[in-house]
Amino acid sequence: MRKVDVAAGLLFAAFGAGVVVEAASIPPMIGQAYGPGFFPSLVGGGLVVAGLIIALRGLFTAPEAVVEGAGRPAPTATRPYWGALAWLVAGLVVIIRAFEAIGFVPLLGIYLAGFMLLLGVRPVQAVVLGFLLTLGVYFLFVRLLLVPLPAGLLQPLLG
Amino acid sequence: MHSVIQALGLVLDPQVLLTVVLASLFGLFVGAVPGLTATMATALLVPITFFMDPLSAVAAIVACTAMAITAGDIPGCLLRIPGTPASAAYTDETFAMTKRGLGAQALGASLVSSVIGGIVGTVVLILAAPALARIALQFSSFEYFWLALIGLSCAAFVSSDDALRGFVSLLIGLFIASVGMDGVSGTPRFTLGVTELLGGISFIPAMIGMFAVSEILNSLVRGTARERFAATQKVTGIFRGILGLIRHYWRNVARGSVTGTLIGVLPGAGGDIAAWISYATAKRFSKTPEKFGTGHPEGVIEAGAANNGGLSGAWVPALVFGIPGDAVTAIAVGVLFMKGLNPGPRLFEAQAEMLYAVFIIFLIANLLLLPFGWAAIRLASRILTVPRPQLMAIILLFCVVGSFAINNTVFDIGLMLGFGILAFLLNLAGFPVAPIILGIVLGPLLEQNFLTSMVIAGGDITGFFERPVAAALGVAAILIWAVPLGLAGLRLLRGGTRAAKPAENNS
Repeated sequence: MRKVDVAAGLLFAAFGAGVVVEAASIPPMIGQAYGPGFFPSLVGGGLVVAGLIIALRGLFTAPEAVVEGAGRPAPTATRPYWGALAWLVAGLVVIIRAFEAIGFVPLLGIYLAGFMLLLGVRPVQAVVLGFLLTLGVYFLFVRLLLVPLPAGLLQPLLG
Repeated sequence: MHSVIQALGLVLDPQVLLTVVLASLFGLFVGAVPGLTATMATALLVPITFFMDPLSAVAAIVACTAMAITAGDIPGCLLRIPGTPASAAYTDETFAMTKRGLGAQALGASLVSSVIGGIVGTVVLILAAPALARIALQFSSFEYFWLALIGLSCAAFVSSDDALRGFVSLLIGLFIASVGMDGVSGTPRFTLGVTELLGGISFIPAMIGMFAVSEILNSLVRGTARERFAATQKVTGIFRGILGLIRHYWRNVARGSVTGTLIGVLPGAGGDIAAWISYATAKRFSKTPEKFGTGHPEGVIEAGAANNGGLSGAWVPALVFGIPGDAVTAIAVGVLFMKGLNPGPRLFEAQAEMLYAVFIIFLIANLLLLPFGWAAIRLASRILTVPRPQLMAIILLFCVVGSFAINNTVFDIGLMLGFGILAFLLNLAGFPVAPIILGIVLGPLLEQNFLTSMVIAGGDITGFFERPVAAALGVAAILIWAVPLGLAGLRLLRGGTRAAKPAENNS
């Protein structure tokens, strides 16, 4: 049994079933045989069938050793960077919440500096580089491309 | 002729030329750094092209991808790590050449054959696209429905070793395309009451998430985020004896260019697959197949020509029918739609000079490959020792700002993160990502043409086979489905569960 296949297949089948149910509640176009719910229900149905086949096939297949990209040298580092990963995800959530209030430069500056720190970049370099990059991109997008990135806390300085 | 002169005028605009040069440098860099793909380069470039005029935008994508695919050969040759998936087919061969002291020859040969392949692909594009467009002018919603279906089917079956997984990815893409207000009736679908989703899932944040954020996640989880590549020697004498070599293997150059272009024209198959197939063909027709794998330039030349040919070929269906041939052209088609320049046969009538300008850009980009590629090879050791954490921080920054910039909403940053995680998990479970993007781009085309056709035919399915071209396309579409399904059925009858193939991680 290949657990990944079984789990992924069942997950897709369940999702497809949800899509079918939801699609059934989309009101049909009056006088037309095929309305806006028709395509999504096909897609959902397809996911149910394909997901079940993948799950069943996985159930009857012998598990395999994972082959690292044919002939490639093994990666030098083996340990995942969980800290940087958590920072990446959680940081983005904070950025989304506080984008207007705190502003692009402070948020992204800290975000990038922290990200690099967690990957072992020297602290001074991480902070300087993080803020320089962010400032550069800020001016590129605000001045040249006219994207309204929020200045936030730095309004008096950047505005 | 008049259009050509007008087109030259458009191309000679300093802004366009500057864009081509900058996008080329960017593409070279991204391609040469292992782990960053040509698709990722395009995804990161798109938010910036969004603010350019349409010609500069397309020029940037064309130049960037041509450079990235070619530069992907450099780390493959020097470190045995392909820079982009399109180089993976002959990485072992070029690395073997390097070990025999022929590294310069390997890089020179793949560079020159790439240029030739790219130019052949462009010539095919220039000759075939307008002719096909004249035919396509007669097409109605029936033909477009079948074309979109063929495009999607090829995407599902070709992009992965396991057609079933490709099919699932495709369905996910089609589902994503159906989120938001339905284009025909205006009914909201799958919006879960979220206002931001009424207009559909924004294409650019989704794409940045799938092709850039997922790669960062991948390198963090695999622990390669700080990996440093060994410093390599300076490569000199790249073009020494290259003319003789190309002349000696001219058959391979020609065959690689032509097959690569043709594979590129097929919807769903791009440079990656073209390179694998051409390498295999080169071996089969070689007088000395036993030398393959020991550092022999023949396969490198053929496959090097093929992946660049495929890149140009993929633009034929994209420009003529609006049906992209690979992930990169899918992104480009999405950009053209956003710019109000809907790809399709009408574009050839209304905007002929614009199209000729795009063709000229193709030629320029491929010719620029020679000096730029040469410089990149000379600077290879510098590019390969760029520190990874800093590089990833820059990519992350551009992901965030690029996702925000399209609609000026933080909701899109969330979308980017969501799609990044989704693509990362799919990749981990062995599902390809490219069919998703094709599904997102082709989904509305498929659905709207189906619904329109149904209205025209009064709900009668046979209407889809009444027009001769539609009937032929319909039969082709059905065969694409029937043949693999039939084969799978046969295998199932004969060998029970042996039908299951091992899954490979490719994206």
